[in-house]
Amino acid sequence: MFKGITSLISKFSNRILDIEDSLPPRGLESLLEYRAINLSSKDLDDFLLKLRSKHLVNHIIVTDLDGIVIGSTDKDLKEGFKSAAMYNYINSEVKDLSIILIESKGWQIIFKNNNKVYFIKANDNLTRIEVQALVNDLENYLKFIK
Amino acid sequence: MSEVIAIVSGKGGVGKTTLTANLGIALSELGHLVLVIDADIAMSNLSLLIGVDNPPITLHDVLLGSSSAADATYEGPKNLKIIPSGLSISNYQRVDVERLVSIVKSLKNEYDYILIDAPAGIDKNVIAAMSASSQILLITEPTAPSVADVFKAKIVAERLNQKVMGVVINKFSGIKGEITEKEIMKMLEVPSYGKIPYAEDIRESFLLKKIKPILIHNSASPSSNSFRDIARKISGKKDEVVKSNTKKGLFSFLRKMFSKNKI
Repeated sequence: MFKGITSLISKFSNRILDIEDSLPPRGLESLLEYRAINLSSKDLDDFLLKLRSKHLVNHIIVTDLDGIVIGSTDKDLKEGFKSAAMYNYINSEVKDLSIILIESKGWQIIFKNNNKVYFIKANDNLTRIEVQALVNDLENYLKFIK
Repeated sequence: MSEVIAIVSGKGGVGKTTLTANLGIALSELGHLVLVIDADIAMSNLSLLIGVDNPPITLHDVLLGSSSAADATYEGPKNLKIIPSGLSISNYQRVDVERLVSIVKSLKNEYDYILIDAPAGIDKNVIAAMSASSQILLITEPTAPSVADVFKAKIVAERLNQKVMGVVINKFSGIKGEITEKEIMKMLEVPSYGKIPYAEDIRESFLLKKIKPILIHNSASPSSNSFRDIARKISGKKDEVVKSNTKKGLFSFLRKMFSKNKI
């Protein structure tokens, strides 16, 4: 009853005042569809796919220091082995190596963290802050599923 | 340990610098020790608003590692402290903006609040400002382009796992066509910390021979009071943050409908 009266007055006043606030503002409908990406997953590869969407990168490949793939969004597992081999080779030549950036068909970012080699393919060069945020998400997930 | 708040909008000209300066002064008036940092290293102008002209040492020098943060800290009105950014384009291109994170971390024990005036956009300078903060306060105008840009800034904050505390709606006049506070909160999924009215006196304060923040230029104006309200909400001295799921009733609806001033 009370709701009905409110609705009636609302409709009446909207008509009189020419106000329509029940619709989203024009041009912003697509924004309203956006939902924050829920990273929860029991499967590492599925988690990496979600992580890829969250951090707007093309591929995430994680291997151990011997190149054995821990998780990947890329079906070509050779990519992981190659990135670990490349990291180990450059690391043997360059002291205090922190990150390798290769610009080739977008950006390829290779670095070591917590005894793992990360290989990220992205269209743009990520800042250290963005890379760290991605790594934190993955490390937290690995701690959680252990 | 201080609360570090980055003021972020995505779009330029929305009022980030005005909010940073006036919120800093309002928090100082409440007795807090406040530092404002101009992280807009390319297009800095917070120092002009605060009244620190031609500072010899700036954030550029600190980011380059040639000066300490203490050397680049200046006194503003009402005991407010400021680290201004430099105007040099060559220095801007040389600085490592990601060092801002460690610089802010080193200052955390010295202030109650550190406010970071972030640049427009969502590039690496904004990412550094967001990452250096513990919370992000969004600011938007009640227009579609501004809300769209602040939304993108919020998505970047989510990528970085940074907490968005809420939104401030600036240049609000209540005219038909403006996006309402309710709609903005619904879209951004964050509470509102308040609305700052579109006011001539704020514009006037920028046209003075020596620019002054509105809290200094016209301390008793409604605009000044809206900045004070936001400061009280942030400092927890007034628990009136408008939640996005506010309950509606017939009485509030009628009051809104017949109210002349919809602000």
